[in-house]
Amino acid sequence: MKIKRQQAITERQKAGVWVLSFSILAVSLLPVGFSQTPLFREAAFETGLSFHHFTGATGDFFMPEIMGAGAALLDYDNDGDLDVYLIQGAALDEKKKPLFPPAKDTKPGNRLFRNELIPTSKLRFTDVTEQAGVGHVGNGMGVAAGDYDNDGDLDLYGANFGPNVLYRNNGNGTFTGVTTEAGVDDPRWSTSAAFVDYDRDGDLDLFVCNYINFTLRGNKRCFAPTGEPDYCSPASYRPAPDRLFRNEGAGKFVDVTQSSGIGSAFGPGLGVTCADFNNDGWIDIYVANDGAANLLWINKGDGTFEEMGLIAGASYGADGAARAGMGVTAGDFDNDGAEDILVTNLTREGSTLYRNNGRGEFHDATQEFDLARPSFLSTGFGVGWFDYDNDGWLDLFAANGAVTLLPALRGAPYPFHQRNQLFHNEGGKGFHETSATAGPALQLSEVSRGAAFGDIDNDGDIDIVVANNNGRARLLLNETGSRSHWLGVRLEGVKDNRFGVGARVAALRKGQKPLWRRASADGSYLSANDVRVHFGLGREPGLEGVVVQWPSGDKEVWTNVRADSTVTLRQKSGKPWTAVSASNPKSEGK
Amino acid sequence: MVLQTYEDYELAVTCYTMAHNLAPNEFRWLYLLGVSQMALGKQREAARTLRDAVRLKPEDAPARLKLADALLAAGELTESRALYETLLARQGDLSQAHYGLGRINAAQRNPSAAVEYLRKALELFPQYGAAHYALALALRDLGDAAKASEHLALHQKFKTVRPPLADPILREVANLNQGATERIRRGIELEAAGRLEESIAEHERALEINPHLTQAHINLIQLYGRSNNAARAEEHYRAVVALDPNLAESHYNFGVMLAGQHRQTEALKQTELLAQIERDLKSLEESK
Repeated sequence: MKIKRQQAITERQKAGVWVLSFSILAVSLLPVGFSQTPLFREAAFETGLSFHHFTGATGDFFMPEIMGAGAALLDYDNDGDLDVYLIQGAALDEKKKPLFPPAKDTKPGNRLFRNELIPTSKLRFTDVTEQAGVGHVGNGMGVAAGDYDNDGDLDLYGANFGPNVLYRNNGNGTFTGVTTEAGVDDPRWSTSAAFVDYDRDGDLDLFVCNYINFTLRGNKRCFAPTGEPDYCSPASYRPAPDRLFRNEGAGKFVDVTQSSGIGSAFGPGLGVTCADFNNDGWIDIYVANDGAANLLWINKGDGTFEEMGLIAGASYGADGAARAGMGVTAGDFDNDGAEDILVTNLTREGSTLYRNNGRGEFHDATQEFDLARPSFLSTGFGVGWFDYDNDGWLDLFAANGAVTLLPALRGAPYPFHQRNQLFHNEGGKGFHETSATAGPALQLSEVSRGAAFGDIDNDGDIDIVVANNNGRARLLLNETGSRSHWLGVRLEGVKDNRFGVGARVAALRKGQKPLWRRASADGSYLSANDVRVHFGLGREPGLEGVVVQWPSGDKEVWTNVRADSTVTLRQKSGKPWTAVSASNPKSEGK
Repeated sequence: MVLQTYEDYELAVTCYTMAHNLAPNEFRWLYLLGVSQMALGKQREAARTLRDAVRLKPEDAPARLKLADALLAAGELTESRALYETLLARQGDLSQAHYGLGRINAAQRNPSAAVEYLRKALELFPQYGAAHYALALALRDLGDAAKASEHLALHQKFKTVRPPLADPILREVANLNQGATERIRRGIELEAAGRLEESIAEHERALEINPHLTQAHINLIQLYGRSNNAARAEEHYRAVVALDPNLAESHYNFGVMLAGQHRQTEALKQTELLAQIERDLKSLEESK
């Protein structure tokens, strides 16, 4: 190598200045700073994850065209690997010819792709939509995954512009549509949804975000600042109230929107995440609204909620202005034990980081943690806290794409595309954007919407599926995280819901603060993440045990847990745990 | 300036940079470059540019204020504080500077000092929506939930209202915008500030440019309704129905206005039309 480099330099020297200038130009045309191994590699095509989103756009600028769609990562067949469910759009005005018609062999409706990693040891996806019976055809928006009937397999809820759909997993690779029997339909424009056990009765309830009262016949004409026709902002329409369904058992839900208080405030809802923000043991609900105050529903523990977003400081930016909230993620980015919130917003607003002081009081810490500037020019949608390099600190990925004409793209066939972004958490002191060095996958400029997070290739790091509007779904395989230690935790509730959704899980590490994460599939935008909990443990794991605080309040510790593996922790199989024992978990339960 | 007024800030920055290179001592190009950089979220670059602008015209309060704001947004709190203080030394009644100092103290986790500055900002301009919000959160941090709630309620009332600041250069830029949409935007701002007559005028100007703007008609139904001008509201209602008979909002707004005028029968008629639309929508959804 040394000899070759010397030869090359000598030849340049011989060739003189012109060659040297040329080489500088050639280098400058390449993306700067790519390391030999990219952080993420795009692998949708090579693994058979072949999906192209269809918007149905005809030039009428119907708002639903530009808002979808989402993706879910779930192990629907319980074989140990993550499968992918992708949401599809449809023509809104079938009398008109679509501007971007689907390819001739495209099958309409949502698609389910089974991961063949187990048992073939090769990451490969097979479209099993027809045999699984989950190919709902409609104007699809979002998806939630959760085991609402506690039978040990994950069910699917599809949120649409139009009637929604609940698919019960039959446990044999097939699903049955049970929307009407279950009583969870909502004919309005639904977006994100989340399964959550808000009443701690051991089964999963359902929260559905609704956006605006848009109808095709009531479509309004809106314009860009320069006068060209463009998509409207949600302010042109009345917002539609969100909905909460309580699980009554036996496959039935009842609409408790009004009696729970959830119906008392609403905006154009796009994103939802559930966590115990005020640390009182009851799961709260946070809703990102587009162009209106975000809502923080504090669970009062008696079946009702109180909207506390304003006084909590989680509704607006520091300047008191509402942002166009799209996606949302909750997680303990600074490892202080409290769950913080990040909301993605519109271009020229930037994302908003709400830092939690542990009592459910937030401060806008976007600028303080260096996220204001890098997110400012992007319209963010799908988003997730996830530890991509397994160093024990939650990093951030944002899926971006505009909703109104971008001046710089004027004249392009679909002038909304933007690059997605990756941010590295610098030990809880700030974020550093690493998109430019993350590899070609992060250089793609598309109209991204949903993003779902999970370890798709079972190599110990978190991968991402990105759902693009009017584009191909992307599979971003993490190529770097498995260099550090990690731990995957799958919960098995007995008294609580079967997948332990809502449980807080801590990795206890020798000489270090415990890492607290939550078992949940919600958050992001229109999407459902892997419900398993993932911990990055850094170069020296020092793992002493795992604590689980179940939604019902039970606390258990397991000390026989090894790093670099995924463990299943069954409720009531650990030892009782109290916080005092954090420094010496092995003494507990004796 | 035309690019800036139509929000194409990237190209505006390019043009202002060229203009500055051609006329390096011209204040306005540096100032407008800095403001456009701020709009692109490039607060540090904006601060550098605005520092140069202030050097050219040290007495220009809008430029100094923009510089302090850019520094605050960039997290350069020490320099931002110094600038706000300088501004106050020259003009003690500049509520924006008191607000800026309140924000800086809040960011530095000093809620007591923040409360003092924010109260002063509100004393000078009681409808300052952003100041009510910042004060509410500072009071919350001090444990005064009751007072915090009062200011949150005032923030909800005056959300977008800001103290006026005479800025002839930016006014010149805004006046270049002849777009109907911009007129509606200005009209909505004026409505939020409680200036109904001016808001109506802006909306009417928008319709002179583009008579098919349904939103302008809908807003005018509301605005004339609130101004007790039923005749004009009715004209715009008829225009909306002619443009799109299926817009539920227009029937709703017009119905509310008629009810306010005690024209119950006519109001009821609007409610019936609204209900018919809702029924049509429901049957459409069911037939999907």
